[in-house]
Amino acid sequence: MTAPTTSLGATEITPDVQHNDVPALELRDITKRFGAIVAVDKVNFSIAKGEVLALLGDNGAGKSTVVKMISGATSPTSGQILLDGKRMLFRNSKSARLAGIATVYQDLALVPTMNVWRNFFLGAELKRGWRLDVKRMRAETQQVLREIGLRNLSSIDQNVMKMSGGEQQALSIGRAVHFQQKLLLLDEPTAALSVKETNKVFEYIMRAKESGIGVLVIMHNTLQALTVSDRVTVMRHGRVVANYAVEETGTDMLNTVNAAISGIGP
Amino acid sequence: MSLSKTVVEETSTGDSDTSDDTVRAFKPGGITRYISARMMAVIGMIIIVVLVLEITSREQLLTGLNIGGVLNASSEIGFIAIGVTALMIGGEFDLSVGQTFVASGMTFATIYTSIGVFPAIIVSLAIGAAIGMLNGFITLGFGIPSFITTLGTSYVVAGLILMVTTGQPITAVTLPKSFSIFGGYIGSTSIRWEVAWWLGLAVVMAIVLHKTTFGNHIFGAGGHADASRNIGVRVGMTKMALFILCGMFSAFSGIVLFAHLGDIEASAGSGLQLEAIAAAVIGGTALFGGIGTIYGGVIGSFFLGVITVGLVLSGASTVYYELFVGIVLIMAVALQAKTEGITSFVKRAFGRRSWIAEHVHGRSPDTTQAGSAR
Repeated sequence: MTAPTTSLGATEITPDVQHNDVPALELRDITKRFGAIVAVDKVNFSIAKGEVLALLGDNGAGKSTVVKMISGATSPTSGQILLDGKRMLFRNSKSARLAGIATVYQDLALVPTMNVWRNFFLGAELKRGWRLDVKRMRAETQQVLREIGLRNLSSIDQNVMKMSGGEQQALSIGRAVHFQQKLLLLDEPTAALSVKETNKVFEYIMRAKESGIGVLVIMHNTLQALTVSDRVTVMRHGRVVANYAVEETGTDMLNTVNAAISGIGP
Repeated sequence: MSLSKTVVEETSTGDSDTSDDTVRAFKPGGITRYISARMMAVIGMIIIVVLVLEITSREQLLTGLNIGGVLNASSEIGFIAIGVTALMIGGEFDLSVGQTFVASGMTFATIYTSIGVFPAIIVSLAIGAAIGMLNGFITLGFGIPSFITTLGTSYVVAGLILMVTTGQPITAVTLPKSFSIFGGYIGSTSIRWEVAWWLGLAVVMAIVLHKTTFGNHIFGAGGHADASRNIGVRVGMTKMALFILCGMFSAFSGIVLFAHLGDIEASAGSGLQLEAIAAAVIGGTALFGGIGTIYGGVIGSFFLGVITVGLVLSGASTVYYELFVGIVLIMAVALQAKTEGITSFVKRAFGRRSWIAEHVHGRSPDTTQAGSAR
């Protein structure tokens, strides 16, 4: 993979030495209150570099509020967010992105009327003199997409609106990896995808993980979460109620996690 | 994707530099790499209209003299259409271009005698830029749709023009020689220099749009402003620059008009805003941004010029102009909307596999097994 380019991941300077013991993301006693309602209550978890954490929970468990706080869309009432060991205060989603959090939204990440490589480098264009370096941008986009596992894209000159949902995710994930973001945040990445495409997206996530980025996946489907993640964290009523390292994906594990989600103890 | 189906054809950001290591190389052959099927349809329609007008004008349209006339007629709206096309690609409108055109043209007409032609050009362009900047500030600052903002500023500027001129036209007694850089004829042709300026500026603007970061951001801002902002594009700055450019192109057109007519009046700009949008749309620019080309705007302007001159030569009253433009506008857009269906039908009819079917439906099965790693 080629050297990182400006602007996308650049406000915090990446340390020369990779401290692999420092987690990519750490939440310390994160709390969010809306008036009298405590939506998120002292949540703690961390994601190591090159680790995939699945955050599970039923509707209203507080998952999306956690996502919003990490992506900068809202700020915590109390508690700390540490990104690569540094304490972060995000004013908005832009400051979170600049700090190195790549959020893959279903609809907010790509410009549908632009082609693949223009989307890939949008906001961080490669130039030769005053002109866009089209040749290099096309080549690098192609290389990154191939590395991430998207091999049969018909053309990188096609518009993003012609790509399937899975292919679009490959593009977003590839971009996060290429620009050396610290955390990849995927909110229900497989919600609208076919089984085949879901499996492809899992492959992309695996490739991202191998590059050393921390990955947080928010999921509904327990089986899918167990398939893709190294650890699962379960939330219920705004609290973290369980943590599991995923060693096997069999029925027992599935039942245990599902019981934790629904609150009916095994 | 929530975008309407009518815009799905071809890349909006036409690039021809194709390298060969494409994973599964898809290359539409020959000229379709440079001109989309949508544009081919429009060009085909222009050819038909030209032929019809050639017949109705008793073979007067396609003479050297009148082709020059068509180009001259196209250039006036053509300057404005360049700015409007770029602005529309960026997702905004400018309905004040007609009034900007008059305001700048009149300023130029008033001051060139006292401060000299070239300083007057600078001042007039600055007035266009200022009106564009005002449009930008109001639109971006208050979050008002530019359609409304510029409708408002067009009335304001029109009112100011009437206040200052009291409705009197401004006429030059004699045209200075230096005006011939716009209004003079190129060599012994019937083509004015303004046509060269028009096409030259179009080329510059096309390069800016397709080959620079600014141009890339224009497509991003117009295609999906939130996504672009999210990724780090300064959407507001980009749009502001476009408003200013659009004002300056309109101002330039006003200066050029006065330079060859030696006369400008308050009503000279009426209807120009819609003609410019018509030119852009005939040329394939999407109404809601993100899609379009400068050469499309040039072709659209040329089309309007053809109709103007062709109808005059056919002895038709000018009242038919608007009727004709209306029909042609609707036909052009309808044709573009249905191009995908038409091209695939034609290709099937000729026994070739439609490339659309090939690369949308017939994609080879995924080779990788999933679930991966574990």
